Amino acid sequence: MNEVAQNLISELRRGTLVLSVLSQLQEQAYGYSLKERLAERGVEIDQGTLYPLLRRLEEQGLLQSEWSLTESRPRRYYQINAMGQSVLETLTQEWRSMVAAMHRLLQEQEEK
Amino acid sequence: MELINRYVYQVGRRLPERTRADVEQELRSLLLDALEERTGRTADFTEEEQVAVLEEFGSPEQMADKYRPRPRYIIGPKLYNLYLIVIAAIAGAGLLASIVTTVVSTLGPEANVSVFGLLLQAWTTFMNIALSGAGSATLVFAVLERVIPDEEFELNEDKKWNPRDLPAIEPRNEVKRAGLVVEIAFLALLMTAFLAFGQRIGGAYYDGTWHSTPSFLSAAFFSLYLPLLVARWGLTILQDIVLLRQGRWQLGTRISDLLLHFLDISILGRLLGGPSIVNAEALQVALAEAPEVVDVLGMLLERGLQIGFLVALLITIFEVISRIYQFIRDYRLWIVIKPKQAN
Repeated sequence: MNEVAQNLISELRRGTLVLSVLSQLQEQAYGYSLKERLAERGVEIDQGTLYPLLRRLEEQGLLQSEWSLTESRPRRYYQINAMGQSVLETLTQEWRSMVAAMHRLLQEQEEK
Repeated sequence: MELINRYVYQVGRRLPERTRADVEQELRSLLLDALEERTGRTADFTEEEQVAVLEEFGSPEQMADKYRPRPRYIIGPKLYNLYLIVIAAIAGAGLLASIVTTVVSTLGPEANVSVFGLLLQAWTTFMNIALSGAGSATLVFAVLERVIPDEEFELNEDKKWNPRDLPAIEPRNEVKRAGLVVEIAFLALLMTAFLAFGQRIGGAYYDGTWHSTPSFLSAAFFSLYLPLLVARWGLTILQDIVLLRQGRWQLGTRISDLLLHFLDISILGRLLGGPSIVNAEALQVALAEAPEVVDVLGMLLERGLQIGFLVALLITIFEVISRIYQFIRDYRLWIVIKPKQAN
């Protein structure tokens, strides 16, 4: 595929990463399990992108994390917190409005 | 596990100490999760299995970049505009200092007045000041970038601007007709004065009756320099007439203007390095009553003229550089050398 189009697609997907991740952290999940959960729902994220993103979201106060030492190896579990929940609602609202607007735009273009 | 350990170590050593241990522990855990998922085992991973997983994670440099709390740059976008202003000020100060020091160096009794020597001196002085100044400014800004908290940066973004304050558009290519007419008249007068009366530009003295001195301008001036000056003035008049007819600067007139500036550099170089334009004999005649002053006055006159020529030469070189830059920018000459994009 055209390299320019490929870059634009990556850019488009990058914009949805935070919303995707926040939406899937209502329950605790560790990095790899979250990656798998997203993949099962059709959202592929590089591991090299997802794990640092989780830490950034935690630093921004949207997630909380804790180490679990009860399994075969220590794992860090992430979960959305109250502030993250509020941001998720705002982002979801914005997303729906954008999808509706884009749908109208693209439909108009198809009808021409 | 050897490769996993080496990978984690290479990522960790690129991170700030504050977060290093935590990221290393988490990264190791994530890598082992990926290996377990891929192999179905919890230990004894082969080298090939480790390589496959590490390739998915990306190079240690890329991974560390993503974990780093802030992007790696010397001066960030918030300070960059201010940094450019400071660098431009340093370059201006360097230019001024190089002109002043070069001029001062021509004043001493053992002054080196070769054109090449002076240009070299001006250039090295400028580079010394500009490079050391730019280096220091970069260092200071790099420190500021790291010590001032992000929330303190409100230099440009939040400044309220008023659209009514937008400066008027300067008509870049339009010519000022009145200015051109004045220039043509002045140059025509100058040419007439030098060609018709040049030999009479001298002084007068009185020893009972009035006598005039020979021209203060040397024979070299009339044979070497005046033809060049007349050619330059004549070409300027021609260019001004073309500009008056066209009403605006175009590609041809811009090129001719640039060529005329190169001619200026050549003339000024000759004036600096060639025979004097002052007729020493005329000075001796004019100051026959005070011969002890002749040498001093002659020397001062020579030096004064040389300083004037040198300053004019430096300014002209600067103007040529600035016009070439403007020319390339206005006519987008870089498009010619821009490589074609692959489809």
